[in-house]
Amino acid sequence: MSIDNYEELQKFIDLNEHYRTYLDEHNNTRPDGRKFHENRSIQILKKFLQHSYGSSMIRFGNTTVICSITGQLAKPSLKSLRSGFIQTVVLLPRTQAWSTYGRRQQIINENLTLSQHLLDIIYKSKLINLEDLCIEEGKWVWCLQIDFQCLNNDGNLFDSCLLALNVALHHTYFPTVKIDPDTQKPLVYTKELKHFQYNQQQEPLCCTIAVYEYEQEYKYLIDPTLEEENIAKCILHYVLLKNDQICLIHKTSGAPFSIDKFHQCYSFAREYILELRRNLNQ
Amino acid sequence: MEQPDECFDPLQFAVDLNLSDIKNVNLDENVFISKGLINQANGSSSIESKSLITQANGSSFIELSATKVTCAIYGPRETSSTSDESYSKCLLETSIKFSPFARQHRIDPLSVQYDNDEDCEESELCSRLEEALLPCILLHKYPKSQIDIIIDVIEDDGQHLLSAIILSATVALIDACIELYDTVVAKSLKTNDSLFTLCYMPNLAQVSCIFFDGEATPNYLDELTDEAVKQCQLLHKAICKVVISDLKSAAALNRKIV
Repeated sequence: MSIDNYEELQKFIDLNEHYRTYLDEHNNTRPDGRKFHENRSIQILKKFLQHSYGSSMIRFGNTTVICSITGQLAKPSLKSLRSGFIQTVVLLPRTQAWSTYGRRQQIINENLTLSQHLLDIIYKSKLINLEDLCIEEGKWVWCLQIDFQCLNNDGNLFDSCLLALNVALHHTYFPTVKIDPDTQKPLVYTKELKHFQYNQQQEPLCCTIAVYEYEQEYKYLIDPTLEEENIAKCILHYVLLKNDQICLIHKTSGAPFSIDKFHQCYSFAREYILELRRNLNQ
Repeated sequence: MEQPDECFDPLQFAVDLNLSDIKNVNLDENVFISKGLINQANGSSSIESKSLITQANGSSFIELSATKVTCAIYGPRETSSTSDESYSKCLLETSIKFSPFARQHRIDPLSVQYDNDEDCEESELCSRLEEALLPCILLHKYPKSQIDIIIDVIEDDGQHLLSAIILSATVALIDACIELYDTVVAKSLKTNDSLFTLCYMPNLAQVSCIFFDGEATPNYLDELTDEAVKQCQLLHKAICKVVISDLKSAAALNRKIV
């Protein structure tokens, strides 16, 4: 991040001022050249890793996220003998080398809110049925580990993580596991892989909208970059399923919102996600 | 939304793993070096920078057969250390972390490692990287500051890890415009059970360091050294090509804006 020209110097001194002067000069475009409702170019890479059961890499402009799905075996809890477990971890890039905090010698850069949101979406939209993860009732179940590694954060992590999850799940292959009747231990056949069964009908996808106040009215910036997220008054996340039903709405505080504004944002979200689905199914 | 008490790696119970199989050595190793990921968007209206990690001063992405490593350089920036060393030259802080999906067995990213753990592969790799890079950076030009080298290992195939780390650090240092005496190119050779890594500076024709794990006779080590130096020179040409083409495209972009 070097200050090479006048524009970057202005951004460094006061980001808000830079945006305001840009919007004064150009109507309806953002400093990176997009219109308000336009999203950045999306690149999707499937089967990226060789050690995971399923993986994908997504680029939304400069934001790069890698999703990897692996599984481990576990004993089910006594409360529900047939359900497996799911764990999601979202790791952000580090900007600092190791530093010693007492005896701990590292920086764990996990984005807890995003990890929990993704877990909530998986459960509530029934994207993955916990019963599908059962190998033998009461004895062995799969514990699905979904790891997101963010290589570069340029805004809009929510969208990219969710899209990466969908792409990775589509191409996940699990080894077959049978239980040895004599020793009750699992036998894992790593060469016999079968496609992971999940609820393909629900394809939860997210639309992130940053609300920017300009001249007493709200401008809705879809697919914000990191700078736009920093100057936004508030940020909205809409997660919609394939039948356009709302799975999750998350709004940070800052801008008062009436019901019709929510409806307006819902229509923006619907168009944007339709475009995303077309991209996904190509 | 419960979490399991104990998780078992399915590979423990694997029935059809062939551990005694010698994996066919892929002689046709693919090398991919870039300062940013190639953008194939056509006709996009947005101006996208080509660097991988936009917040860092320099970044790179290296792929050597199956090993993928990204590197970000932050610096030179003000140091928080008040030691005597930092008054005359720059401090080098390195940090290497494995992604959870880097190896066959998942590495839990949330498990905390304490100071008195002996088995710490990451800190060993950090010290090797420092040894390899210290001869080539002009540290006396940046007094009272520090350079942070942050490395993320995305995937590791067992053989090329150290050389990929050193190569990615070199390309990222060039991207960050930090003054170097020469580029450091590293090449790993694996024979039977021993791993030999050589770090070479092509323009000065000096070997910066050699790492070797295993058993070998001195004559064999000589052969390995010669072979590694030859391959390092090829890698050096690849790095030069990437740097020059990146510079040309940056110049073209600047011309367009101006």
